[in-house]
Amino acid sequence: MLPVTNVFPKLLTDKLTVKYGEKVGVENISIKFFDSKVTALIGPSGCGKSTYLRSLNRMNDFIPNVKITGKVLFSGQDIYDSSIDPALLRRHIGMVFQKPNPFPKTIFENIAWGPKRAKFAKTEIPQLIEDSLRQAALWDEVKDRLHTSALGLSGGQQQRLCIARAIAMRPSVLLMDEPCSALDPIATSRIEDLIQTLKEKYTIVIVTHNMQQAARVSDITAFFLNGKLVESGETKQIFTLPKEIETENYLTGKFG
Amino acid sequence: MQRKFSFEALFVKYCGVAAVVFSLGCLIVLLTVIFINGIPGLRLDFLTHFPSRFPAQAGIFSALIGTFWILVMTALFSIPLGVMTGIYLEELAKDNWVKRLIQVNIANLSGVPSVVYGILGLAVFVRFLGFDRSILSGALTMSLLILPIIIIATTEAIRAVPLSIRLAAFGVGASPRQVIWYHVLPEAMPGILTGVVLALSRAIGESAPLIMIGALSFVAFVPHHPLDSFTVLSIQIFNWVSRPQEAFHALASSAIVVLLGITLSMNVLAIYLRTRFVQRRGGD
Ligand SMILES: Nc1ncnc2c1ncn2[C@@H]1O[C@H](COP(=O)(O)OP(=O)(O)OP(=O)(O)O)[C@@H](O)[C@H]1O
Ligand SMILES: [Mg+2]
Repeated sequence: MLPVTNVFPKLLTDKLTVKYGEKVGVENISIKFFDSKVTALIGPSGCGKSTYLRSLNRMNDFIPNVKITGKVLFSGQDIYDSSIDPALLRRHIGMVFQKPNPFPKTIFENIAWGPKRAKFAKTEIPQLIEDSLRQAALWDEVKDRLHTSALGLSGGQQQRLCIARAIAMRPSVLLMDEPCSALDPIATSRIEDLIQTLKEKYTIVIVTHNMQQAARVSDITAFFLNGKLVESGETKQIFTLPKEIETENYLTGKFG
Repeated sequence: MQRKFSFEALFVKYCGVAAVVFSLGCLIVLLTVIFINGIPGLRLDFLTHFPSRFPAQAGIFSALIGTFWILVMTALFSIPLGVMTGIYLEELAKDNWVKRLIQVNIANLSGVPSVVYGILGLAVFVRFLGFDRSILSGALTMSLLILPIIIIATTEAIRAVPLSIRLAAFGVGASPRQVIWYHVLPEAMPGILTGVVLALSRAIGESAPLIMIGALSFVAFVPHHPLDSFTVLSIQIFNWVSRPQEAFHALASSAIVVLLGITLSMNVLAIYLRTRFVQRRGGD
């Protein structure tokens, strides 16, 4: 048994199937996500990585005709249970999107908005903003312009702002859907460094198309193909000794 | 390399230029005539006098006050109702055939001639509800007339708000209501405001529905109460234009200049409010 499976998982899916009407998005996926670990979801375009990621904090709720079977357990609770408030859930499971999507407000308001709605103490907010921006490695660049529009930031800065916005909610899980795909190599490596420091505090799930990135930042890798999970395990093992021939073909660039 | 001759491009270009020149030309001629005839009559007396049989003493006081009454009351009825209907249709209503039927009908209603609204107002507000030929009847009729415009402007402005902003807000744990209130509405507000101002400008320019419900054309008192009878600028203009004497035509031109002034100030107000909104959310 792998050592990582010895601890209690923060988040897990059990035979999770997501359908768009009759069309299968992902099928029968069981994965466990652990505290202080980065899990990378890889696979060719259209294999269902985003579909799967969105189902982990109920962002699929906004797509009409989505049907979900199987279970998603967060700290042991079924998040699709009728007693769960999805808005409350998303405070605990934050999300960073593929394209940076800051609010058309000031940098300060971008981060403060969520905590204010969640009734964080008012006096605590300035400190929270500084801490989040420091954690997102953005503080030094924006500390003198907190009250200017976030839309004036560069793409890489906007994406780090979105990360700061997500961690300001003090989530325990952070979902990231190709967070670097719109960024240049320098901004990308900053965000990769950031993920390394963030993983001490959060359970991180990251979708990426970049194999090197998955190898660099993740502890565990899950390989998806045509809506199915082909294999998952420690990143080192997946990249050096994959069990399945499809994984090997994908990693060596034979397809995808 | 030689540029390829394209008949379509040329056609579109010259027709476009011709259309702009023609419509702008007509507008300029029209405005010039009105201003030449109307400006000399624009004295303070003209604004503060009641209408009269003698052109030299006639003024638009009662019509001006009536227009403001209609404007304010129509705004009170139609803005909340129209904006809330738009929000409901776009954000809350289930997407089914009932909703689509309603939307198609609202689109059609915005194309119905205004006289028809006048007949409806006459039957419902004046006769059935017994509001008589009052400001209330007029404002309610005008509200019906401009509701479709406000609803359509609202739904379109809301639809133009990018999905990514909503998802960002949901992503930090916002409830659907908070997303609408804090993100969708502020983003849609400039578009909604423009629609509202356009609709209200239409309301103060229309005369046919008010003539249908029997608004008076000669009012020598100031309405004090929503149930008082009234006249408005557009009716006063209509009345003066239809008289044979030249002197009354000049008065009509002056009144038109006043009406244009009101419409223009409303548009300036809308622009001011729009820039205020853009500034408040941090500029872009
Ligand atoms: N809103 C939707 N409605 C219907 N089908 C969808 C929707 N979103 C995704 N799908 C389908 O589900 C499947 C998985 O899509 P998904 O976006 O999860 O793939 P992905 O692995 O994230 O791809 P990419 O790497 O290109 O982002 C695809 O076949 C896609 O067409
Ligand atoms: Mg995707």
